[in-house]
Amino acid sequence: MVDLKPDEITAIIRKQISGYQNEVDVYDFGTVLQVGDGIARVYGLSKVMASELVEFPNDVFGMVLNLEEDSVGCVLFGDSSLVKEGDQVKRTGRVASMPVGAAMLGRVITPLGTPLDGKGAIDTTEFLPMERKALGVIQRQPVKEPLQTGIAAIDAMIPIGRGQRELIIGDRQTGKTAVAVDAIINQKFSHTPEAAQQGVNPVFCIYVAVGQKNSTVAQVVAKLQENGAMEYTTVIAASASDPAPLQFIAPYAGATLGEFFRDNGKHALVIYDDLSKQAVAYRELSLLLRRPPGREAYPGDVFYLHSRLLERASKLSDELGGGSLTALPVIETQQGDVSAYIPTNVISITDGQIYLESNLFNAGVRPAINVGISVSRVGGNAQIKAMKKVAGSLKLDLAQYRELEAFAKFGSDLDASTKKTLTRGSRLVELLKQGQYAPVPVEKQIASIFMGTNGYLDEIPVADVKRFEKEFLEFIDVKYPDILKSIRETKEIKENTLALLKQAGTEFTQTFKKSV
Amino acid sequence: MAVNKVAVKYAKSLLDFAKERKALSAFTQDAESVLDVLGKADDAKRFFKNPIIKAKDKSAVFTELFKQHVTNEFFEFVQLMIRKGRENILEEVLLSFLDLINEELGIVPVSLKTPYALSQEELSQLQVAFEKILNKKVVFKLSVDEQLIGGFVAQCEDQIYDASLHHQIQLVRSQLKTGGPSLN
Repeated sequence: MVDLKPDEITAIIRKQISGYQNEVDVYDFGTVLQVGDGIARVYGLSKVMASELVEFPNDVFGMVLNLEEDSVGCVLFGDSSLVKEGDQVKRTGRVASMPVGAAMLGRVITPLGTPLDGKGAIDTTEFLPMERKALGVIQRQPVKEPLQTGIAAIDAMIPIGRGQRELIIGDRQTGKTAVAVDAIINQKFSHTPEAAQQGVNPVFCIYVAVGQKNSTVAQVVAKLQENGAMEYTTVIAASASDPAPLQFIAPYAGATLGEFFRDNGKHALVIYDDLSKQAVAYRELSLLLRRPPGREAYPGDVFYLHSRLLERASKLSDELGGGSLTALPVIETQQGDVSAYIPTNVISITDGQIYLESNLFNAGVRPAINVGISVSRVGGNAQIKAMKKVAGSLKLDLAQYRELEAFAKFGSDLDASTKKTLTRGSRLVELLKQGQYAPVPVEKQIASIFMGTNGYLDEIPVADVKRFEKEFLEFIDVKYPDILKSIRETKEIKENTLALLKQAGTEFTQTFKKSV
Repeated sequence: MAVNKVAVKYAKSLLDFAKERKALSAFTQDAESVLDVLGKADDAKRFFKNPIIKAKDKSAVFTELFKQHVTNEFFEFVQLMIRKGRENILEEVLLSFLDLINEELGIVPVSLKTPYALSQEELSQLQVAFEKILNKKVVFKLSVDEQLIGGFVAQCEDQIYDASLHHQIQLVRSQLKTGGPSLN
């Protein structure tokens, strides 16, 4: 506590009151006709706008969603038991909006912008509406810069560009959140002076937790703090115990905050974890508002719900500052069923998907990415040259491996070339395994994938591949520091670097074999 | 409350009828007196709303209550409503009839809440001010609410003009809670 004298407090209060305007306050009002299940029907409010914020008694806010002939349907952002029939409802005159600003970084907030972390008021002055129209064609440019997630399998084969929308989809317990959190942690590098030297712009992150357990959110926040990632991250939490309307608007709040960074020429990454729960929340309030249900009882505009959200991700043209907003929506499938309503919708909206499988997860392949059906439709343009070069053969090798994988159990009965493919493939799969919260910088990813695709690992037992990778990276860090430096700075593999890599590879493989 | 569509239909025809007979003020008075009685006597209200009681009995009671106090035409109108089985919405009909009359005459009813009863002079000052803002003739519906402490609250249709001390204290309170230099 700061030591404050009563005099000072009085002075502050006096200053506050002196700035207070004494005028007749004119406002429009309505009367609550019916309230329940987070929905209120209000009579009056004749000039209210759609999606305008309205104020109920006891500091409960609501948003107008239905404008009907003789009443207005509102969703409540607070406890509906605090609102009674006959209560007065005030218009606020502004559409649902949230405070934005750099002061939001490092904070945990509700979708309405009120802090949840007990660190006091957030010092922002600017408000932006939550529902904003996505930018048009003229204001955009193609995605061209990489957004490194620090996960080798993604950065190599399913690259994500700044301004892209890449879906993370999978069953429960397949590590969807882990991928997203790793991506946030990996942005730490972009905030360092070295990154600025290399021309890598900082990426600000927003993690939107929708309908999750509060304990899970606390865990994510703790992990981010532990890894020093909270400084450039905002967590927007609408947990399972929050009213459905809050869960419904949370992703829009995240997009609004991301757009603030984007429009100021900065780069932002928003993670919507997860949109299936948002769709469920939207279904709940749509049904309560008596909108007609459609497939799986979702309302007719559930596609628009997600498309208008994800369309807001964009890479701005250089005239507008060249900022970007990358979106990583998360969808949870049931029993691997990607043909359910919400998954197919979001798959068709996004620019690709990262598909996580529980079989792989249980088989110890973590991150459990099924590289066969995961795609990135635009990110390839954003990959750095060096990565493109090594990743090309990686994809091919893995595809051939998957084709022949079923024969692996025949063992020695196979011909030499099949055997070779299987050996290579199993080592590559092992190489792409990676621990949680341990993102790898892109130049190191390139060096180790180079080793894998160029056959240096073929004679190493599968069990030793991870140790090989770790020790090899340490080895070149010490003995051939120019390799990593050159890749980092030029973003490609120059001739002499290639020669050095090969030399280092041969040298290290020989010494490593002795230790096996 | 949301207005019953049937009630509006009856009210409109009553208005037309009143205009035809040039008895607007008489009908207004009648409607007001009936509403006054219904407002005061809950029994009467329930009696007319009760569907079990026969129309004949309702008609008889209405005759006894109002025959002497309202114009003949107005009396016949209510009798017609009872015959048609619409006496349950009598109150709504009369309320929307008064609304329609006000609209016709360019009058805006403004309910005015003050912490104490205003003097005639204060009222006329307020009336002039409101007529200037609303550009219509204003009729005040007065009530006293001591909680306001000072000032007044005027309500006109969906709009509230809040100049009460109570509201201003609330505003200062919320301003102190959120805005300005923080104390920590």
